[in-house]
This record gives sequence, structure tokens and C-alpha cells, in this order.
Amino acid sequence: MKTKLFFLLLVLFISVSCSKKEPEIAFYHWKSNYKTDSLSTKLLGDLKVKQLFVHVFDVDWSDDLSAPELKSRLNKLNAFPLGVEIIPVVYLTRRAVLKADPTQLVQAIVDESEKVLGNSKQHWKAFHWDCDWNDATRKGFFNILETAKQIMPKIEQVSTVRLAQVKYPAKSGVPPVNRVVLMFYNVGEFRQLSELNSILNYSSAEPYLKSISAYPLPMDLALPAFQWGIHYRLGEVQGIVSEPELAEVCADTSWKVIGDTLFQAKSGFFKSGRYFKTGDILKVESTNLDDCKQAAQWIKPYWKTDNFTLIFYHLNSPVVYAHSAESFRAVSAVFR
Amino acid sequence: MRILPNRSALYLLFFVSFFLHPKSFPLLQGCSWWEPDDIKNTSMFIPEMISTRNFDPFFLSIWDYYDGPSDSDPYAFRQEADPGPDMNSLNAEEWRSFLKVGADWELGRILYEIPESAVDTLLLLARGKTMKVNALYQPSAGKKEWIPAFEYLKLAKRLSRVLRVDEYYWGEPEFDLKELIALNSAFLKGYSTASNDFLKARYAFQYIRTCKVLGLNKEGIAFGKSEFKLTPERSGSMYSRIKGYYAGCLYKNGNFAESNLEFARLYDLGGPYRFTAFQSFHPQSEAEWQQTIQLTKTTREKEILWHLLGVYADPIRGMQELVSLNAESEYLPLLLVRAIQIGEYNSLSNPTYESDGEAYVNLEELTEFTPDPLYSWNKVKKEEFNTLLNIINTIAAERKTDTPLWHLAAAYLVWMNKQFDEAEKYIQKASAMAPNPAMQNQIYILELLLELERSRKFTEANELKLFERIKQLPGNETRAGNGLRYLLRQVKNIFLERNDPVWAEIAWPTPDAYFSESKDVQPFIDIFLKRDQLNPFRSYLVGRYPLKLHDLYDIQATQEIYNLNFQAARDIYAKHPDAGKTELYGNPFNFRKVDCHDCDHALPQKVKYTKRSFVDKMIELQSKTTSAADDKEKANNAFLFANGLYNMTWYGNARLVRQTAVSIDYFDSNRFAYLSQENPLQSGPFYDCRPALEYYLKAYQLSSETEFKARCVWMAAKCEHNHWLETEYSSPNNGDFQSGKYFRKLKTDYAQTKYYREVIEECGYFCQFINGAGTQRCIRNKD
Repeated sequence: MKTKLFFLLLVLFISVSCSKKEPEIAFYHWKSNYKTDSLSTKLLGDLKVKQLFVHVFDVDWSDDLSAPELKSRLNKLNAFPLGVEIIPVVYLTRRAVLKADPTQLVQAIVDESEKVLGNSKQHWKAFHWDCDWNDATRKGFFNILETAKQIMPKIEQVSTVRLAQVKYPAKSGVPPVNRVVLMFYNVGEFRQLSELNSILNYSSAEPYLKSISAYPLPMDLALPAFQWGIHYRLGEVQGIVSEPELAEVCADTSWKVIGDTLFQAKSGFFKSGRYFKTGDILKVESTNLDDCKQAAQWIKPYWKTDNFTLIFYHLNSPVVYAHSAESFRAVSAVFR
Repeated sequence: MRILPNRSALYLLFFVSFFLHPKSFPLLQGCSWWEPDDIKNTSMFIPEMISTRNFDPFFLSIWDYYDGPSDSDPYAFRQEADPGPDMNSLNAEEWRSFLKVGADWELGRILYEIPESAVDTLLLLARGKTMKVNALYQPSAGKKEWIPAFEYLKLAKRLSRVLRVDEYYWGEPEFDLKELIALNSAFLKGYSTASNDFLKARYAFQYIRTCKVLGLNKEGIAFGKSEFKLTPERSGSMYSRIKGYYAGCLYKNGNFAESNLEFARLYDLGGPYRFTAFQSFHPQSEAEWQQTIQLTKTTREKEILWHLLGVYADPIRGMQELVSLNAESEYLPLLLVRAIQIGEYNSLSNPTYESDGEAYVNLEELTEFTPDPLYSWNKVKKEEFNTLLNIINTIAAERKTDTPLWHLAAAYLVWMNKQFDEAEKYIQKASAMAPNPAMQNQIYILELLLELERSRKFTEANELKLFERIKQLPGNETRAGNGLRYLLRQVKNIFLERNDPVWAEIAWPTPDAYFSESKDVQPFIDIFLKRDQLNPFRSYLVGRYPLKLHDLYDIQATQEIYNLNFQAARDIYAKHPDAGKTELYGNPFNFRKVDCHDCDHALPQKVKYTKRSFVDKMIELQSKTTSAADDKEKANNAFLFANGLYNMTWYGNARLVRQTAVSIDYFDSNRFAYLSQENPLQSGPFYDCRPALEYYLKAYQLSSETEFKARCVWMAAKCEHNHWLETEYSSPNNGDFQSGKYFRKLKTDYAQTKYYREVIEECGYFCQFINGAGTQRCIRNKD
């Protein structure tokens, strides 16, 4: 009997240690209104999503007020789905990081996040900081993270890292947090019209892949499932046309289609509050789930952990709506 | 998670009125001290050619608004560009006239400073109560006819209290809704019961204002539509404020077509309303824009709308539409100026700093990013150029006022396209039409630029003509300064092409960079000495050069000082009485066991040395090292000479010997702090202690006194250590000190001297060398 039990345990042990666990699937919510809709509710249910990373607001700095300024504040119109953990995400501009007092700032962010999300911080398992820090702002950003640990001692602190920060941890510094999320998109140079997809392309990402395995902190992975339009005038970027308005902008008859994803203005016109001048170009970039799967395959050889979350950016993108739960599982299955 | 690689950059695009920008501006980095040149610092096109003052703030700037033509005195617009009194002053004047009181009563304080409760005092006084009050309130005593006005004032102050946000941190301010709703009703009631236009207008304003704050946009719109019988004549300054809130309600309600028309009407009122109206003008879609045009009642309203579209987004389209409405429209010139300025911004490089690039104009070149020929930005740019030139010519032909402006704009445009003969024709047309002073200045700038093109061969005659053009430039005009800078940088290039680096440097001076590369000062000295034989243009260039003859001699003499050729240095200084007059901070012939420059500089000095007298003294000392009467004197002189050599290095107290008009390395005290492969230690005679070492050893040999010899050995040890710092310290793992042979010599040969003991007391390194590394009592500066 004892021998049988031993073998049973042995088999169980071997089977557990040999097969890698698939990552949990999660999503970012990055729209300014939180409103449930049947498609996303179904998707969250089908995928048994346990975490939703909800963008609460951006913090910028106002020179006029000499104070941090809150932008793109979330407007919560419906209750969050039951059984899904809500992780607040706050984006900090470099200016805010440089100029704000860390203690005041973190306290205000926590208070405001509680207000916006309508729940107390006791309910947060983690708090997610997003800042594209550089040499000049690293110290300020890391101070904010240290302060956050003191103000929210029981809450896991998470920070985004970009590929370059992963490749050069000595130069960029490693943020003082419990976990990081690798933002595996916007890898290219969006300012260049000739770069057909700056969101995700192998040649831009490839030089960074090897560094992923050496990063000293536990890591989750964020992959892109969204689209945007980039508005160029005489070779320079004028602005970004985001998803909610993109379809409407592209549908205007004042465009001449000059390529698969390129439109040129035949004459000047207003659309969605923007002005497109004669000759301006709109380039549409998008990624779908096949692209995400492809990206997962590039990353897999360098991905060392099986205990991580795969986060898709972002829940309300038409790209996400166009796919079934199966497509998301297929991406996750790459890591099996 | 954000979706852009550089969000801070994009915030700029989104939030800094991107519509004002020609393409996009250099992206400001959050951490940078650097600010890009504003357009007025690079442009050679004078927007003030528009004779009316009304549009000055809307001239192109990389900031939200243009802040005046002068760089040294920002915000100094043309005198007549005064936007008039602010809204508070206007309001106070209306109160004064309504109450019929003189200027001696401080009505501004009553309206804007006293608290809500003090209005009660005013009311009591007006109702006839006698009471002892502040003199400010006294005029209201017994003025029953003022009671309705004070009742309004009380409500207005109550609203100010409700809307006051004392500690703004972030988020939407939360107002007392109950109070706001009560006030909203009170204002509406006040409006219907007020017996005069003065109070009616004020109640109307506060009512629609509270509607806007409360989000009662529909009520605000309904009120605005029905109550616009209040004309500007009847409602004074309140008229525009009511209209502003009405337009705001329309906007918030999504009636963009109507709101943009209202803002346009407000813009037409000019003065202080123009900015707010412009800031609020936001067409959303082309269909709605066409609807806005349809809603206009007069041609003038159409003109304003197309004008605003031009300023907001597309000046060429604005001009095309405007000219078909009214070729004489006052709203056309600003669009012209902005269109030219946008074209100029996209094609002209004329940075104020040398390091920001060359000066050139190129209609073909686009951006620093690789332009992809597939999408042919050049074609877009060329088409825009042609369209602009056509519309300018069309308007110039139809318009009777300010025609020279249009010709000069065309001249500047074709100059940018390198059509110099065409440019000349336009200038001649403009010159024949009585141009105003700003236009005349523009003609001078354009003639200067065209003269440059004719002068590419640079004959004597060309140079003289060019100089004549330079003399014509208005000296105090920023854009003329930009033109001159552009010209001189081009002249520099012409000299460089002709392989004449000296004149290239004189034409557009960069002496720090030039003399860090070249040691050859003599050609400059020769030119400066012959200045009276040069032609006026060359003489003018020499006169502009920031270094003067004595500076050049000083550079030359300083080179000789560090070649240790003191006699040659003296001969050079002798050529100019002002050369080498820099006074040294300390006595350069002093010495110390441990260097302390500040201590030397603070010591009383009977003789203050200059570079010049330092050189004289060095010559004297060096000569006495061989010619003095005995060895003791020779040794003393050698020691002092060595001190001079030591102190004129980076290690000594007289680094100023190294200072010239172009050297800055003499004060670099942190040169060991940031060493790397890219940033290695500088080298050269200024850092070399070996000549001093040689003379300390010479003094040592000549002397027979033990204490003196000990001093020589110690100074030799310092030189040896400094040389180690220069040559080996920066190698990895070398530590911060290494004892050398003169440390050992002091220990072995001079341990009995008093000087030896003094050195142990002062120098921690030597103390540890004697007593062992880490000996606590040897460690100085423990904190």
C-alpha cells in the first residue's frame, strides 16, 4: 500500500514538474468610461479572467497651478464584474515625476483612485504604476515607488518596464517593486511613416529578446491587441487618432487611399475635432491575436517563469471584440 | 499601461493647441533645460507689417501666443497693441457711471475686495441707518437709490464664495449645489424684476453663468436665445460675458455649429474677449463646419469664421474662402502672415546657437526624419507653395489697401524658393507703393538677402554693396538681427569654400571653438593691425569680432608661457598695453606643504601680480638661477622659479595664468570626477608638474642647508605625486595615492628635520606612509 502511494505521489510530482502551467489571462481596461457590454462580459467569463487592470487616470504636471494635474480620469458607469480583482493602473508623466512631492502625490493618487474606483484600497491586491522613466526621472519615479510601498504596505507594487529598460537594467535601474509587467509593444518608431507597424515588429523587438530571461524581478507580460491612427504632416507626427474615433475618421470621403493602411487628405477637412490639411497622411497600425501569438513565440525561449499573467492591451479594442476566447487561449498556450 | 512610446511628447501635441503649429515643434523633454528657438528669434519675415495692432498675439510663435517683437523686452508689443482695459476695470467703470460717483471712491475695492458681509453694511447705510463705519463705505450713506445695486452685489459675492476653490489639488471642484441652485433662481428672479439695463445685464450674466456651472445647458441656451435683445449698447461689458457663457452652454450641449459661430462673433468684438473666444473655437467635423457657415447672418460673420479657420488650422484655405467674400477684408492679412511664417518655419534654418545647426533655406528639405520618397512630402510642400503664391497674387491684384504687404510676402516666399529675380520684382512693386516703416524694414532685409546671392563671388565691389545693405538694416529690429545672422553665417560658408578659415571665423565668430582647434593667432593679429587698410565691409567684420587685439596677444603670450618661453611672452605683451592685465588671486611664488588655493588667495599680498608682471618676475628669477652671486642665492631663485612653474599649473594657486579670452579649462576643478573612455583626462603643459620638479631638484642641488633641502624634496614629492595623478591615477584599481621616490627620500634623508615633522602633521598621506596605512591619527578631515 505504502509503495503504491509512493509511486502515485511520484507520478503526480513528475507530471506537475514536467508540464508548464499556462499563464493566467488578464486585460487592461483603458477607456475613459467603464461600462459593461455583453461582448467583453462574455469574454471575461469564457476566459475565467481573474484580474482586470483598470486605468484610473494619468497624472501630469500643471505649470499654471504648480500642482499635479489629473487627466483622462476614469468615469465608472457600471459595477465591476463580480469575482474579478481590480488592479488600479496610474500613468505618470515624466513632468509629474520630476516636480511633485512623492508623499503628497502617492497619498493623493491612492485617495483619488479609491474615489474613482468606488472601493477602498483594502480591496486592492496590487497597484500598477506606469511611467516611461528615463535617466532624469528614474530617481523621482523610484522615490514614488518607495513611498507607495510605505503608504500601501500590504499591497503588491507593480511597475511597467519597456524593452530597453529590460535590456539595460544597470543603466535604467530596476524599479523597487514586487513585480514588473513587460510592455511588449510600441517597439518601433511611430514617428517614421515608413515603419509600417510600430506597435509590433520583429526587427525592432529582436535585439531585446535575450535580455528578458536575465531580468531580476518576477515578470508579467503585456501584449497588444489594439489599433490606432498616426497623423503626419510633412513627415512629422501631428497626433494620434485613437480607437473610438478611428473608424469614423478613416471613413471620410476626403481621403485618397494610397496604400493598405495609408490615407492622404485630398483637401482640408475637420473630423472628430481634428483638422487634416491637404496632403496630410493617416497611417493605421493594428495588431491582432495572430500577431500576439507570433510575439509569444518570439518571447517564449527567453521566458523563464510559468507563474505569470498574460495581459492583453486592451479590453475594449475592436481588435479584442473581433476574437473569440479560443484565440486568446491559443496565445496563452504558446507558453505551455 | 499607456500606448505611446513617449507620452510626454504626445501630450505636447495634444494639449498645446496643436492647431497653432505649422508642423510640429521640437519635442520638449520633461527633464531638459533646453528651449527651442522661438520663431521670432529665427524668422526674417516681419509680421508687424500688418498696420493694425489687433492681431499681434496671433502671429506665429512656438508658444501659444506671440509675445511681442522684442526678445530683450518680451511682452512689449507695439505700443498701439494695448488690448485695452481688462474686464474688471470695464465693469468698475460701468458701476461708477451707474452710481454716478467720482473717481475718488475706490469702487474696485467695493466690487472685488470687501467680503460678502460688508455689503450688508453698505445696505444698512443706504437704507439710512447711521453708524460709525470705515470711510470706504461712507459714500453709500442715505443712498436709497443704490439699494437694488447692493442687493445684486451681495448675491454676486455669495456666488463668488460658492465658486471659490481655495485649495486646488486636483479633480473637479465640488461646489455647494444647493446654494448654486438657490442662486440660479435668485438671479433669474432678479433679472425679471430689475428696473434698469445695468442690473438686468448683470443678473442675466450671473444667471447664465450659474446655468453653465450647474450643467443646465438647455436652460442657459433658452435664456440666451430669448434674451439677446440686450445689445452691446444696453448691456455694456456684460454683453460679451453673457455671450461667452451662452456659447459655452451651446458647446457643452453639443451644439458645436452654433457655439463656434458665437465664439466667432465674440472674437469680432476684439479686446480681452478675443483670446477666450479663440481658445474656445473647436470645430468638430466638416459637415458641422459647413453648418456653421450656413448659420451666419452677414458676410462679415462668414469672414470671421474663415479667418478663424485660417488661424486655427489652415491659413491658405481661409484666404481662399475669404477673398471670394471680401478681398478688402481686415481678416486677410493675419492669415497671409501666418501662412508665410509656417512656410518659413518649415524651410528656414537660422538657429541662434551655432551648435543647433547651419543657417540655410531649403524648400525641398523636410524633417530630420528620413523623408520617404514614396509619399512625396516634397510634392505636398511644392503644391502648397504654388497654391500660396497664387492666392497671394490674386489677392494683391484685387486688394487696394496694404498691397505692399502682399508683394513683400510674395517676395519672401519666392526668395525661399530661390527665385531671386522674381523676388526683386516683387520688392520693386512694393517699394513703389509707399510702404509703411515695418514694410520698409522688410525691404531692407530682403535686399540684404538678395545682395548676398549677387555677392557669392565676393569681389571687392560685392563686399561694398553688401556693407551698404547691412548699414540700411534697422538696428533695433529683432528680425533684422536674424537677417544679419543668417547673412554672416552664409558669408562664413563662402569664406570656408574659398579655403579661408581665418576670415570665415571673423565673419561668424566662434572663438572658443576656433582657438581650441588652432593655435595660430598671428593671422588674426596681422588682420587686426591692418584694419585701417581693409575695405569697410572687412573692417566692419573685424569690429564685430568679440576678441580684441589685446585678447589675441594674450592668447599668443599664454601659449609662450606654457612653452616656458617667458621672454617671448614678455615681448608679445610689450606690443599692447592692455594685454596680460589679468590680476592673479594669490602670490604665485608662494608654496605650501599641502596645497590650498583659497588660503593663498586670502593672504595679504604686498605685490599683486598680473600675468604680465608674473612673466617679468619669472624671467628675473630664471636668470638669477645662474647669475646670482652664490649658490645659496641661486638655490633660492631656483626654488622661487619652481614655485612659479608649479603655481601656473592646474595644481597651483595661479591657474589664472592659463586664462585667456577663449580658455575655460583653468577653472575646471572637477576634472577627475567624470572620467571615462569618452571623457579622458585632459593633458598638456597646464597639467604638467615636471618643469617645476626639475627646478626644485636644481634648487636642491645648489643648496647645502638641510632644512631648505627638505623643502625641495617635499615639493619634488608633490610634483611626483601630481604627475602620478595625471598619468596613472585614472587607470582602474590604482587607488588614490602612491608613494614615490621623494617620499622615501624625505623619510630616509631628512627625518631629523623640523620640516619633516611639520609635513607629517599636515599631510595625511605622508603620515600614513611613515606610520602605516589607516593610522587613525593620520587621517585628516575625518568628517
